[in-house]
Amino acid sequence: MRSPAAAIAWEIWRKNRWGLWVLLGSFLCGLAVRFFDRPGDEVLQLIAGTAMVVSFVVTFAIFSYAESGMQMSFPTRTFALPVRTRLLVNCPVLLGVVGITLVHLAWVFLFLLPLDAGYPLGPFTLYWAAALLTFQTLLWCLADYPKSFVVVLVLAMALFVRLAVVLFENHDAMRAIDCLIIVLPVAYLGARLGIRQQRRGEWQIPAKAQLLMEVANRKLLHRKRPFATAAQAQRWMEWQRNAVAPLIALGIGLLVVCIGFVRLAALDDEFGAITWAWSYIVCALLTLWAFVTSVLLARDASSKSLALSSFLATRPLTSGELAFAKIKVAGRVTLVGWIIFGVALFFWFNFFGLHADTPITPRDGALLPTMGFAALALAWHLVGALPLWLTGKIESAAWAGLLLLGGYIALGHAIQFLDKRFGLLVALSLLFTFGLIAKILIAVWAFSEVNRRQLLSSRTIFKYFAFWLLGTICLVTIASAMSQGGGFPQPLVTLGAALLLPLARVGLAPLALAWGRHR
Amino acid sequence: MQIHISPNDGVPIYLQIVNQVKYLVGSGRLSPGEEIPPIRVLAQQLLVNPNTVARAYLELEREGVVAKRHGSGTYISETGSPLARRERLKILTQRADALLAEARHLDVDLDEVIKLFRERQEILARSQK
Amino acid sequence: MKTDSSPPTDPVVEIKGLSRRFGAKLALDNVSLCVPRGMVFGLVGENGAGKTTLIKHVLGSLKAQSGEVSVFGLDPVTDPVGVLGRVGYLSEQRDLPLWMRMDELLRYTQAFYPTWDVGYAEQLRRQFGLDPASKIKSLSRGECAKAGLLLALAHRPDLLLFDEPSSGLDPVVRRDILEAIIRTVADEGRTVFFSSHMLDEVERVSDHLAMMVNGKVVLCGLLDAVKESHHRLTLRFGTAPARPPSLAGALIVHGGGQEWTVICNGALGELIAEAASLGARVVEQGVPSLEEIFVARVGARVLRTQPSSDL
Repeated sequence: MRSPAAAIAWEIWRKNRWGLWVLLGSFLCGLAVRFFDRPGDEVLQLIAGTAMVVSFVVTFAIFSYAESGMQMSFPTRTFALPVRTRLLVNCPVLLGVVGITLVHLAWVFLFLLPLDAGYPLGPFTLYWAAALLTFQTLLWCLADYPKSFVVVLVLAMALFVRLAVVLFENHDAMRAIDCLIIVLPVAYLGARLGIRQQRRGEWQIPAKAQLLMEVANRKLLHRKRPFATAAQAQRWMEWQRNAVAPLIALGIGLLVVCIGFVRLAALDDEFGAITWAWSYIVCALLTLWAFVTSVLLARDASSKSLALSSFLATRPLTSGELAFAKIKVAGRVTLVGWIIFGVALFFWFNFFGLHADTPITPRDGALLPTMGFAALALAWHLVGALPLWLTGKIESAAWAGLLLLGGYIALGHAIQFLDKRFGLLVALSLLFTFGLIAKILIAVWAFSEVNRRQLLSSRTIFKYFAFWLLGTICLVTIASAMSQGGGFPQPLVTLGAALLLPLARVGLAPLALAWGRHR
Repeated sequence: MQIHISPNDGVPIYLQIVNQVKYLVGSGRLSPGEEIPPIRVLAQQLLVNPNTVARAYLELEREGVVAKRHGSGTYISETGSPLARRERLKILTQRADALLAEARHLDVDLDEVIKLFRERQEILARSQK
Repeated sequence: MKTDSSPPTDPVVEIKGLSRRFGAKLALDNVSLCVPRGMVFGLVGENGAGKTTLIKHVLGSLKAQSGEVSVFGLDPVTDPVGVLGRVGYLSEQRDLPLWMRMDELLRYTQAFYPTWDVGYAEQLRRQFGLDPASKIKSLSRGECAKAGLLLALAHRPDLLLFDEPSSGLDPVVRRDILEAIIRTVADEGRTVFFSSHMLDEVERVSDHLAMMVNGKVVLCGLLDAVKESHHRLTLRFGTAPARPPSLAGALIVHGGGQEWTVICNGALGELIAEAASLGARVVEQGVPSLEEIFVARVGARVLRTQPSSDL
């Protein structure tokens, strides 16, 4: 290596060779789709879109230049090297900007230019550079304060989503571009300042503020009573560690979206379009949040990794109780998530009651699917891949995400295939029925195995089955009542409601954890 | 009770304890009837296995240096005086051997050494009056 | 009331014919061990000899690929609660949850062990000087080790399981750990099983000893018996031998010229006779320390795998 800059560049390349393979793979995927593209083939478009998203996410991950392990932060071991701080910061920043620009331009030339001549190339190049830089700055500066990091990251993401929407529609393009032009140097200077202070050891909350936070923490969140049972203690640990931050992020995210749309609606008159946009964005937000939260919930509550730590593996608690603590906390998070979403809906109704002439009722075309989708996203994702992650064999969220994505694509393909044969309605009904039968069979096998190995007491298994039965009956009744008047076919909705509450996955989770605990 | 043990000595640890207790008794630092710490306390103090300390105590009891009283601990035996005397002589013997070896090294013969002893004894007796 | 499934004279940990393979590497090769009740059992071996793998089998973190493991008469894989509830475990890797505070950690751990003694835990906490309001991630290495030790001791376990507890710690903390071992075994019926590199600590504190080399147990028995069966002999030859002398039972030989020192295993009388038959006189004879035996055992393996050019 001739120079420190070359060494840092080489290090980024060497550490992230997997990422470069994934990038290559996604580009090849995109090329293949371009080659085989037939008009109207939506699955291929979906694949190409997924590959694009994956390549962007991987680029962000590569240039985050963060040391994985105990704490994801700027690699502090570089502080002992004889280089100036500005070099340490400039290298990953410049490489990141170049990298994301290249990825962005590649996709643009591959897909967007031939399709859409009105794509604002210049502003979006600026946009992506600013996005990466902001992400880097936030990650490096707030590594020690994970809760604040999550909150600020959500706010930043909301800002950037809004900027993207504005740039696409070309309203106030100048304002958006000005905003980006300001964000770039601010983020860069923030990164320089943060790293410089960290290197000097001065990057901390001032002592008085820390003391105040400690006192507040003690008064509000401090638990003084001892725990009644080990299971309760484990649930407390899971809740404290994995559940609080995502819920706060959800609350703030929804708040920001609602406030954004309120401002938008105050300027615009097309309530129909705005409502659709709101539903779409909220669904997307909820799905993304539910996915990220499900990964966070599956994390080991003691260490930060997905694999079971030896601290929890050596607790005198059955694998079933360990898994069930997670599931119960996931249930609680779902419940609180629905309450937060309900508050957001209530807020939206009220707003429309004030500004619109026609009040919006739940039967409105946009809101029923929103609620349905929200319920599905929250419940399904939160427990959905838990058995997969609890095995501890999948070491990173990226792999898990890719596996899930593959599952979705396969599902989409299956729907398309059945749609061509039988039509969409029959296709979905078939799938749902098959899903329900598979769910019950897998659940029966899994729970009998759990009972045989004494991973859970028979009482707990019984109680969960009873809860599932009761809950499903309630949901089916509600679904059939709601679909009486509306335009949705009753059997489909009732079947969907029956599939809502997790059963098979809950049975598989203890087995998966036991498999990972005793290798 | 000050005892130092070193595991690398080559002498088994229990034997080191036995020898040092005998030395302490002999030099008067442990008087007859005095209580020595229970096994568990000494084990914690020295950081050795309690079984090793138990073995040392058993050996001391067998040789009559200590005696166990029912339930109330272990004490230096009253009849320790002949052993104490033997121990005392052993200490002096060691010193005498060292002195004689040094005298030979310095080429001082036995008569001069005895004369030296008598002189020093007179001075000591006069200063004590 | 805990039910004791094994009578008082049965061993606490029994390992029979345990083998474990990681890919191509054989980490444990037909290991058989027996840890009797009320004893301190020391396990020594170089890095990579398989000590941690063995301890993980005792905890149930690894399933026996062949052979069997039983702790308190139970299988740690099928009954983790029955086994782990009576075991206090301290590993060299401090894997405590970093985000918890000290008092939260104590309250959390208390819920898992019905035999947790709150007064004793508080006494230990004060003795170790651990601030209840401090976060685990702000503790130094020694304080982390003391916190782990507190968690392992406070519920008065029947088996203390330590995996290289003293590695990287200052002498004060090492003293605390040794004291904990001695205090535990001084109580009736409680057992200690620990692996360590600190051979002088093992020598002071163990009743039983097992030595592992390359996944195999090369020595197992009472510490005194092991030491008595090894001898350090210094041989003086009339004329300097052309090659280093080889005695049956010799583990390692070093020296030069007319005097050679041998660490060997076997009956003393036979060894002296054999030395005489080689034309040497025994000028010094002693009991080697555990470290010398360890180096001899491990080093001998290294020497023997080399082509025998000069040995």
